[in-house]
Amino acid sequence: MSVKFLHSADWQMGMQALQAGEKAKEVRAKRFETAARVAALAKREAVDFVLLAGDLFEHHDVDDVVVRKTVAVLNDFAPIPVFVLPGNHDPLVAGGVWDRQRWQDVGKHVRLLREPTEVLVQDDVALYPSPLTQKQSRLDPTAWIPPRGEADRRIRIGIAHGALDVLPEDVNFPIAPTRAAEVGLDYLALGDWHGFRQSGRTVYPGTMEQTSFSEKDPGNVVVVEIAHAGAEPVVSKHRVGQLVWSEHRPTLQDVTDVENLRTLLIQTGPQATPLSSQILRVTPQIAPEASPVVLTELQSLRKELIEGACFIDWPEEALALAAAADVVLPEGVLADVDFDLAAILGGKIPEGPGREMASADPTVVQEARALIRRLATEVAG
Amino acid sequence: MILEEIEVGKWRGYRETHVFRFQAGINLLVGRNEAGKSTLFEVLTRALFDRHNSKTEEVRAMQPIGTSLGPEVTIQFSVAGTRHKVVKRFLQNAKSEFYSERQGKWEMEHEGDQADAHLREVLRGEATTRTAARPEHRGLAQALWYLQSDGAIPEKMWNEGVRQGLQGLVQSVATSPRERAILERVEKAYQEYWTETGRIKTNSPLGLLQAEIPEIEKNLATLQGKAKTVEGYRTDLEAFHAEEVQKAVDIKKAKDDLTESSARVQAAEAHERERGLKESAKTEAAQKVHLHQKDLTQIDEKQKKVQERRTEIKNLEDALSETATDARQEATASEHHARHWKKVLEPVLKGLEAELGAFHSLERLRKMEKDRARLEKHLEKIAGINAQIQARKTERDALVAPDDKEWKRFGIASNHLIVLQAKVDASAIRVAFEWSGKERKVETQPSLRTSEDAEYIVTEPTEFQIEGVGKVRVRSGASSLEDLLTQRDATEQDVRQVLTRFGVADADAVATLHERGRELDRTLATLKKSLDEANGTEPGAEEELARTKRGIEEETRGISTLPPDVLQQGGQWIRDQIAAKELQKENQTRAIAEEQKAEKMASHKHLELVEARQGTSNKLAERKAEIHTHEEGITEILQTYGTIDQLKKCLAASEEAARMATAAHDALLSGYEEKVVIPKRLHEQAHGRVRELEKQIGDSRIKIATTRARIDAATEQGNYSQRADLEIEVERKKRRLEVLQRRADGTKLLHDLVAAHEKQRSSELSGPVQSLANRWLAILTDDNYDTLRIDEALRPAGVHVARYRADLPLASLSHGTQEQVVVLLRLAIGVLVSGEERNLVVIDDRLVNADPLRMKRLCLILQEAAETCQIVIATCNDTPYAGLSAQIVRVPADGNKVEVRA
Repeated sequence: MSVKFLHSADWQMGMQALQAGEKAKEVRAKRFETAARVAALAKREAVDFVLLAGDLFEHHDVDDVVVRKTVAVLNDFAPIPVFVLPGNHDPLVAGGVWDRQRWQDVGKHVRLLREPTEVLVQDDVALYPSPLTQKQSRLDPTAWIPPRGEADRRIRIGIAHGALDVLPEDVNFPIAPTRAAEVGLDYLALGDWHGFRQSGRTVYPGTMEQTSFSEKDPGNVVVVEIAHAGAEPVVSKHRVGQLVWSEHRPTLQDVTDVENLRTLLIQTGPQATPLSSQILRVTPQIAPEASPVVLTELQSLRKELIEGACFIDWPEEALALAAAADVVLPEGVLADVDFDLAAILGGKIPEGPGREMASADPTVVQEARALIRRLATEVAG
Repeated sequence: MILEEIEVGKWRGYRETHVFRFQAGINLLVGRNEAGKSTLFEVLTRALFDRHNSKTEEVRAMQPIGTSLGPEVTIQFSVAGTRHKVVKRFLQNAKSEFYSERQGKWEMEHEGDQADAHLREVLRGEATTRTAARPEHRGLAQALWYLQSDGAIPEKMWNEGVRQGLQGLVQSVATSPRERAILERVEKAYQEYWTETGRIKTNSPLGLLQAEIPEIEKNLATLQGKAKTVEGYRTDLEAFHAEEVQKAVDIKKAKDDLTESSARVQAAEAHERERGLKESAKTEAAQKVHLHQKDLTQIDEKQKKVQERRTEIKNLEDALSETATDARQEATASEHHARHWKKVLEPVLKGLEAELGAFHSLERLRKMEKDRARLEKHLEKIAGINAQIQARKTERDALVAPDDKEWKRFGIASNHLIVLQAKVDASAIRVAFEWSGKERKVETQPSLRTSEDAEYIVTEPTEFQIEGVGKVRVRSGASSLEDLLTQRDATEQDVRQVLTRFGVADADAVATLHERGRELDRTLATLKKSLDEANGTEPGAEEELARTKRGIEEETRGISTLPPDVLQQGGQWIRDQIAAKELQKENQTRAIAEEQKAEKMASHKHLELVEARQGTSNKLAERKAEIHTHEEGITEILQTYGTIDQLKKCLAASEEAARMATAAHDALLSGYEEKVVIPKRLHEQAHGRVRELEKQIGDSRIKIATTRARIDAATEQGNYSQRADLEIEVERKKRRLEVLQRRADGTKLLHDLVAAHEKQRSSELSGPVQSLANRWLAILTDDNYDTLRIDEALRPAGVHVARYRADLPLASLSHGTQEQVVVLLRLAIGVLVSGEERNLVVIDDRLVNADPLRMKRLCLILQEAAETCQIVIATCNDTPYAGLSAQIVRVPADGNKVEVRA
């Protein structure tokens, strides 16, 4: 009577990946590769069926080629049945992605769960889907699930998309955290949160491929085994995601800090995530007293990361603005100008001709100071 | 910069190489007008500030006239204690070489464009790309060199030049080359972003971004618009689906209504059928009544008609009898007239005609006899003419005479012979003898003709046998004579032949024959003409005569009935008889015609009466037939009923039945509206509603399908990912824009601050300049003007008149004084910028208008200035400068290479 199934969600196919900059296309393409890996995993694990708990597609307007390729990936699951639940990104609406001509090419083993009604997967396994029909709501989509009957000895699995009502702020499609227990579900397969989270019988597998910098423990699917009705589900997490997004705001004083940053970002070892699979955002905070060598090393590290990483968001100007205190300006007009700039930056009104520029934007003033130093550095004394 | 030496060649008037050397103090460049003084300054400026590979018009103008030589120059100068040399050639094999002296040797440091750039740097000049260097490109030199080619004090140029000069001034008082280099980079960095007017350069990365971003945003807005459109489609689709669902509910209700109304309609139809039956019965009863009425009416009518016809028949029969009597009468009259004219009148007429015929024959006979006589006479005449013609013809045939053609030819030949003979005679040799003594006998062989003058005409070799003398042989004339002789002989032969042919001896005889022949021809012609005329008057006279004879025979037979005494009567009597008979005949003929006419009229009348009778008979028959028909019709009608009374009884019965049927039908009509009309109408409406809803549902489905197709079409375009890519690009470019904008603003801030500080320094410097210039002005004008007003751009604005404590604008001064003021100002600037190193001040013949006193004072000022800077003054006359410790550099006018003398 046992059942084994694969639970995933939030594939977000066709996502825009705005944070990935000019690598957005590649990042989008990676998701198809990861989805194929999920299909391979499902076959390897010989699961009875697959549950995709919402947000299969990022948006109803995703390109036709995205739908086509997603359908191709889902067809790869055959003959394993795949149950797809409309989520808040792809709710069941007229003219939505589920009405697309391309979607009609999906195989018969894939079933779109359109109605909140019981679906018998096997004689002893019942599915209780809560498909979404709009993008936002304050209603609990799982409220309809009927409680277990006294004589009901089937394995009951709920599938829904929404946020567990545990956060203090208002959430979209709030789901009662006690739903599984209240209605006698053996497992509640959820989607919406992109990081893995398990709360008893209620599980978020997270997105199978990370989608932004702020996600915690994404890139997984879960394979669930339930021995019989009432048994504890055995949930095993499987890493399938290829890219790792990480954000760093290191404070750098000396070269050692740069080295540490390098070590952190460019990992080695068998467990290390290769640089080519990393999407990085780096916002270094360079201490004013940092030496020019630090800047030089940082520039070198930045160059290395640009060449090696999948994508890196590290503006060049972040380094340019770092003031080099050691530059000595020759006496004369330049020294006077620099004096005025320093005064303005310090919130003072310079005497002499510089007073006209006292209200200049501090970042512009910094830029002017950096320029004068850079030019002074270029002209050897 | 201290100028040391200029070596110039192939340059305008300096065709050959010339060398001019200068000292560090005052140098007077002396030469006549157009000696080449200004040319030397041009050499200096072009060498220092123009590109060696420049091909501008100004550079080409440096070539000596009529040549394509490449102007060359070598300038030696020193800057900051180091000696430098520049070697430049323009146009032909252009080159530029910059040397520096190191340990007594010239070492080339730069060449080509680099050498040009380095040279410009000496006086902070600016590079030009397409034009020759102008004063504003000369940097400090613009302020220190007062050249003729610059013209009077142009304000703009002065501004630019002084501004540049000021920058040079500031930079020259800047403490280090490093600062100068950095300041240049500041300016360069500024120019990367900003135009001269303080706008972002459109082709700078910032400018390009500013242009690109709105474009991308526009495209993004378009895609977002499309996405909104698709959302709109989805909203519409929701509405269409809702509409479809609603319509499904409505149509279900409509169909239920339809089912209900169908049942009511069935009841209505049963009532309708009942009503129909009653109406049919009513109609049938009415038809029966109508039929009976019709039959009765028909019988009445027929009976009336029968009566009418019977009356008519009686009238017709009376008319018929009357007509027959009249017809018989007319027939009788016609016969009577016919008998009268045939039997009585016609025979009389025939007798008259016979008599008339005889008289006419007699008349004709008499005429014919006359004709016969005439014709016979005519024929005799013609016979006579024919006989004459025959006789003449015979004579003519016998006559052998030349015709006109032959006669003409003969005449020509004869004439020609005479002419030839005359020519021969003219060409012939004439021999005449004049005997002194007795006349001797002369014989010629062949014999010769002699002329009237007894000259022997010799036309051929002839031998004269002179009695008692001997023989004399004379040859004839030339070959032309022989030709003439030949022609004459031939012509003579022709003439003889003609004579022989006609058997005559001479031309006269021939003429006679010819004339005779012509006469005979004329006579024959006349006779033939007479014959023709005669035949013309009576053509066919013989046939006419024959006919006349036959006619006479016939007429003779025609008069056989006339008595003999009548035959004796004259023509008039006959004619009178004929006239009388004609009259009688006419009267008779008229009488016959009248009788015939009467006969015709009677006959015609008879026929008319017969026809009328026939018509009446026909009518009679018709009326009888009609009566028969009507009676048969009545019998036929009554076959159904028996008698008329019975018919009337049937009519009464059918009228009663009709009344009853109508009553039954009318009874059913009450409540018809409610039972039949209204249910049917309601049913029809329900049907219409269902149809309408089905159509609406169809329309909804079409709208749904269409909207879905639109959504599919829109999503197929790949706009979602395109939008994402554009958003990414916009974000990236905006971030870059922010950075570049900050950099540009920073650059501008730095640039503006530098400019502000430089300007302040310049302003600070103007004090010393003004102070020096004021002192010199007072010296120059003997304290008349004690202050030179200078603006912050170091531009002379005017002077202060001490005596009147008032200012005079520069333009109010004389031209010469203005020039002197400018010279003082340039000298003052020159002194001040020559703090650590002497700089060159050039004054190109600008003091010509100075009077001797002013000149003297100017020399003092020059001497003072020369303590600090190098001065080169070009002048035509060195005398006014006699008080100066100056090196005289003579500018030769004859183009020879000249060494400078100290």
